[in-house]
Amino acid sequence: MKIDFRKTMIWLHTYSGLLGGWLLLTIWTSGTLAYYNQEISQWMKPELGTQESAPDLVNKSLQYLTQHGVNAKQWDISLPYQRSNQLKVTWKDSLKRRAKRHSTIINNNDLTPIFPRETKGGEFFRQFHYTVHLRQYGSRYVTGAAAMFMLVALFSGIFTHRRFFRDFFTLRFKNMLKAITDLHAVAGVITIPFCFLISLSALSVYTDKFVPWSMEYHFDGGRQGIDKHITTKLSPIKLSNLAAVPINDFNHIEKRLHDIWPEENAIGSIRYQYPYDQNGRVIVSRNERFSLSRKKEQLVFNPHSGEIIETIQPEGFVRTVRRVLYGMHEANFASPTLRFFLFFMGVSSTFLIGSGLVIWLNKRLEKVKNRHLGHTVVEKLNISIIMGLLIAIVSYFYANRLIALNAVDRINLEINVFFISWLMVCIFIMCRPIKTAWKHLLLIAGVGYLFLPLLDLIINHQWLVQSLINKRFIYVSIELAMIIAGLICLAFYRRINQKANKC
Amino acid sequence: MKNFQYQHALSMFSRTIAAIVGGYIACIAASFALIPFLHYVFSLPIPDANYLATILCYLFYLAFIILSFCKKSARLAWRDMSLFTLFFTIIYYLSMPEFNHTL
Repeated sequence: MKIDFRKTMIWLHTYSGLLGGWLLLTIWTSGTLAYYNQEISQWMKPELGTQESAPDLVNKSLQYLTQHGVNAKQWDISLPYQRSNQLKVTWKDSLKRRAKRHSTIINNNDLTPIFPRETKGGEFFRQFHYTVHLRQYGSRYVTGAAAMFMLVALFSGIFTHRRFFRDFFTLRFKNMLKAITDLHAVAGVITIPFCFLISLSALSVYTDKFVPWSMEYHFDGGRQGIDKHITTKLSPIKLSNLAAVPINDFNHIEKRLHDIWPEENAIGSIRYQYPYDQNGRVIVSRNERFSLSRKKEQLVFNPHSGEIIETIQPEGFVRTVRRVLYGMHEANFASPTLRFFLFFMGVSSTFLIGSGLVIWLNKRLEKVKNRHLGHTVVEKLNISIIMGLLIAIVSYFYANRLIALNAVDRINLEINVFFISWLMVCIFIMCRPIKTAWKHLLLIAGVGYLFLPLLDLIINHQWLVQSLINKRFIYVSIELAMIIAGLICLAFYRRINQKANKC
Repeated sequence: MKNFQYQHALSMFSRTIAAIVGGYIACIAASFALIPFLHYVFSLPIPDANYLATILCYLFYLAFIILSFCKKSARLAWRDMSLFTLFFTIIYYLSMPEFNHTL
């Protein structure tokens, strides 16, 4: 029997896509949202405000730390920037062996402590993206396998849709299924490089988990053993045990810094090690948005003289390859335009996966007369993952606004709302006839997304007004994105409804 | 007819296992064999070569998965995966230089 290469590829595309599809859709959706994790956190903590930062932010934070963090071992200041308005100071007690960390979020204009609502914010999506919230149960191996499924589906997809230039220019909008098939091909062509890089860089992040054997055979401690050879670090601090008064004027350091990093707001965070020791030092890290690589650019200063004591050595080519792959995956470097482009790529590939699942089912339902049990299972899973995710995400946002601010364990309550609403969607699909399930759930999701900005206006209209007055548009853009998501859901609802009425 | 379907399913199952498990073993063998290759051809130090080999071996895994689905029968897929593993193991043992891994 002669084997047909293309037929094999079609089979592989169909079944790797089907088996990996639901998990991939979950991962891709949360990953796409995680491009905006800082912005979502900012939206979910409206108490942070949108005000301009006061001048001399570092000096004022140092003053705050001298008042509160007396005799501390370490002071940290993480500065606000265009993606996040959060100024956070942290200090570590030196009295106990296991140093306790205290952190305070400060209003970056009048420098009074503020207490934003407890929430995981956009960070939840980032963690859910690679752990599916089951971190301690080995879920990172499962997501790694999903990345491999994506690579296989991608490669075989190129041969399945081999005439993709012709497919690319064919768009038939009259028939819903044909429109989805054509858009599937278009989205596939657009996102081939994106999906390939994202999957490969995702796998490269966890080489020590997925393919550890060669490293463990050659080095004690696997990748940590290798890291000792190829990673550069700052040298450990030598204490003098002579008491000193910590500085609270950062200007002389900032002046020097400006010659090396001339950009505005170049500083990402400042760490002051052993401020009450003569040999204490200040480590300044550059903001992540200036570098493609995930390696932090750091400079070490003598706090008293303001001279550079140490710079971190550049790493070799191989270590940089992985740092850059990781950096590209997280996209901290992206400017707003590029970030939006990457977000669009994420949305397209999510659509690619989702439409693939829908096509699988409908192609088969057209041909067979008697439905197989498998068809029903796939159909129910499709709806419960696609619509479940959409509704769970919006419920998470509702939970953020509606749960009492002083509730106990508020962070987990919000996350529970995410999962419970997803479960409710699954129960809804189990109990209701499948024909109308798409329609009803789309209506619920659409109304949910559209009502949320309205609810925000009712709760506190100052948030919107302040955002517009201060010209910091993160808040407004997220509200707009929700309105758009709601409108898309309703447009699909209308389309399905019309079709149902015709029949 | 039923017998043929049953055989086909069994063959597909065996092939899938060959791709996933056999491909993985061959991929690990590749991650070993790439170390001397990168060391001699691109003159990378051993730790660097090992580090890069673990990233590159995913591409080998992908190739092995595709390859084992392209073979005429499941037995051939298994044979090829074993041959690749053997090939990479031999390369590794013949050319891996002595290396002192302690720092």
